[in-house]
Amino acid sequence: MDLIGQAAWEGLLIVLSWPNILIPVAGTLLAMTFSILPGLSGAALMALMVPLTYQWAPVPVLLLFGALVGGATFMGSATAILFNIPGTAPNAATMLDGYPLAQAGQAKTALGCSAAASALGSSFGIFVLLLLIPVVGALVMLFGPAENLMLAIWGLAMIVTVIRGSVLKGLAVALFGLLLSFVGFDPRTSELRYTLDTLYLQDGLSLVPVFLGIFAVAEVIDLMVSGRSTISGSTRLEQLTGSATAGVRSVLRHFGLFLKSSVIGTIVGVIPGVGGTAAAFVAYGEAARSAGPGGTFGRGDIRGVIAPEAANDAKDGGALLPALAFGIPGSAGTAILIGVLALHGIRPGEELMTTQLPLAFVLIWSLFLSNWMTSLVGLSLVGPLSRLTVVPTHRVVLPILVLAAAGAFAYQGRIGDVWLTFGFGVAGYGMKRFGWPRVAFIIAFVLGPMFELNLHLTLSLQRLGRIQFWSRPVVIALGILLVSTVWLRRDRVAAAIRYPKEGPDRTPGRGRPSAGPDARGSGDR
Amino acid sequence: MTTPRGPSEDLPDPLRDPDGGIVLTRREALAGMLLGWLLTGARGADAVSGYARRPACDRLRGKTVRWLVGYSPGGGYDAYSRLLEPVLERELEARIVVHNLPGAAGLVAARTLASSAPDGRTLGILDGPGLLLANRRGLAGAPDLENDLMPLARIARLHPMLVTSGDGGIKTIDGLIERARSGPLVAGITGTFSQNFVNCAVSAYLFGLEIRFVAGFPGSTEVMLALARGDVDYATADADSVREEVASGRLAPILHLSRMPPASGSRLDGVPHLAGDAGVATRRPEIFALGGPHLREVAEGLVAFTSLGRLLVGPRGLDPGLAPCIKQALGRALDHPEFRASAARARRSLDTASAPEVEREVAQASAAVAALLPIVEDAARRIG
Repeated sequence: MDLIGQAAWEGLLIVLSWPNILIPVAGTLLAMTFSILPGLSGAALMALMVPLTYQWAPVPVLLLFGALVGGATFMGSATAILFNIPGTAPNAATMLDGYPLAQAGQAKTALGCSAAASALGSSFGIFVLLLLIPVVGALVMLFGPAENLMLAIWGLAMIVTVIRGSVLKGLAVALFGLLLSFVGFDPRTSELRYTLDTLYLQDGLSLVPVFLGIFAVAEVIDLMVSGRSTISGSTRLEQLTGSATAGVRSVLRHFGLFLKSSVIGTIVGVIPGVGGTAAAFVAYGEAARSAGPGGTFGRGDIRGVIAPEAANDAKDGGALLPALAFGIPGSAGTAILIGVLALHGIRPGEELMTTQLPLAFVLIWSLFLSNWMTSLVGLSLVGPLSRLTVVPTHRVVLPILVLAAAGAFAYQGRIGDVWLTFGFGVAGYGMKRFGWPRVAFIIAFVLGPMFELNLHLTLSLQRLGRIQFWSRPVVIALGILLVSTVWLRRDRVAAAIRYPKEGPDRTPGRGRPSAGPDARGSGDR
Repeated sequence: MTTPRGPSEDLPDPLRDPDGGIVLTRREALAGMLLGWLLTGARGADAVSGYARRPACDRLRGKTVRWLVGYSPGGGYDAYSRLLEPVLERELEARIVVHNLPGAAGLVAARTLASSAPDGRTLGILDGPGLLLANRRGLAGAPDLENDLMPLARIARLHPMLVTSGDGGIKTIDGLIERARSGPLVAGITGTFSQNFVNCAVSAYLFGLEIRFVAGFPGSTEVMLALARGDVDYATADADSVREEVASGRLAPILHLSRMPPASGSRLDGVPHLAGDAGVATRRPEIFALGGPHLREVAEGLVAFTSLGRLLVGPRGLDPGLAPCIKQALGRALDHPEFRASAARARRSLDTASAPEVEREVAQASAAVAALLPIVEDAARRIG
């Protein structure tokens, strides 16, 4: 532990020394600016910066990339809360309650909450990273296909807890989401499915255009059709309620939820190939589950902002663990990071975790600094950002559409993604208008590939006698969570059978927030 | 022009190369394009004005050449391209714009290359074995390496080998064969018709191993983890990518699928290789299920296929007045000390070859695929 402490101190001194400190600061500001454009995440910015740093020394590279990993989070949440546009894919879960809060005039609270949950979540992830360095190998080995399958099923089961309205409609769109997530190569046989013989669909439908369409574009259509004067319904700033301070306090008030979400984010981060989007949705679903029937999730519940934000940021610390210790990427960002380290002669593994440990801490402290800086800058921007919710509708509609189209195109540089965005926009509006819960579709679409892949692998390994599914402790633990998820919402399942058209939550007045957006017809989530 | 390899160490290619899973989504396409433009915008002027004039392709002098990469920035193909870019710019006296065009496991870039004008303004790098197999399987949109594209040089090869868990009981190829006698072996692969599937399927055919595949691991990293957990018995891996795991004893290499072992100085020393005069197919034919010429044919065919490597290509029909000049410029760039030093610093192994040699190898690999495809398809049917 002495070695770790000494290395941590050396790393901190390197980060804080002049002019080194300028690099993470510049990197953070760059990442914040960059992430305003939806679809371009921190990982995309990192990829962009890789060739620029070929000739750099290792320390500045670590300083820069640590900042890029952590700096792209808040602005993605801000656009999710203000315009229903996820700056990055994991921010999609934040939209589910963040945007309704903005519609209810509480954008400041949501933004303050997001900034606080982000900073504290990332700190939690880094703290866990430090604690788990000695046991990271065992932790990585605990999660195989069976555990990932249970995690995916648990996430899918969350659909029951987060949807409002008809459960049957929710399950129907969830199945449709699953179906669309299977477009592209069959992971087992490598055969193409549902691609209409086009190269465009060979890699499947991309998350970002689907998110942008089904939420951002759909919301713009709704804004135009409903004739609402502004996003918040208020025309004057004074009419907005809530504050950044209230948002920060809400994280402290729900500290247990924050911790739980951070743990989920960190664990999901450690597991290779799962990613922040799944972490955010699983944490969101667990928050909704634990809130019980009295929760107002989907209609402006502040806990629906805390959970995904904490999980998404805690994931970064978790993902660094296997990346630094074994060169196993836990997320897209860490995959690029490993490549960059390799280019500069830094080899993840035993050497980096022992003799080169100060270098690892340069990266960790840079990530820490950038997470806090992003949130502090974000908090200072809460006032100006919240003004955007009182801008007249006719002035925000076009910029949002342009931003959505630009984000869709920038994601992979394909014009087809722009058309896909608008197609899903129309579909999303239809789902909203007729009460087909979009969140059920999105959760299934996000978790579908993880579910399918691990189902195949688990069945193969079970059939060959290589694993005993129910003898694995993590599978059992996740199984208990799965059963409790369904049991706690058994009323909704029963209601779906008894009243297929309307679930119990449709009953007026039940579980609704005082300032929620339901009156404006947003209760379809 | 086969040259000695540079540093043989390499690190895992975390972004999706042919044997790996997609860890990163393809959003970097535009980013890479923008960055390439920014970078070359700065360097292009130097390229044209700052160096002594060399024999150059007149029609390309001062022009922009689009360099297509079928994978995301930060991965192996991108790294090789960006390391080569400044040197090639000087050799061609043209501006090189690296354009990442990921999609369909590199097929989007390959198809774009094949359909671009043969005026030397569009060149690129691609995965030779992957494209060859995709085309021979009749995958939609996969161009023919021999008829639609023109190989110009090779920059590097993969060094596949059979590996087992370092903690398991199988440490040699004889051990693997012995273990197969007590029941079917389980091999971990990313997907059917991936290169690691071809390697496992054909090696099983050669040794007469009864195997079961567990297919669908997202990437080679996950396959190695499954191996370490004991979920599968063996797999194939690129020697450069798993050098660390081999050095630490977490993985046990048992057979190089090559004509000679890769660079020495590690625990890879002493591991037998499959083909060539000193390979086990020649020296120890008794351990194979096959015999005679067919054994040599399949073993050499597998090696010819896997060792095709990362190729630098242009569209077929490249202007005859231009093609020799581009090939020479590429040859000079690949041999340039500056490029070799950059590759060494970046720990990218090199195994370069000139156009005639690559064309010969493509023809050999193409014939090999024809012989291997029935074996591979039969194995695939047994998975399905």
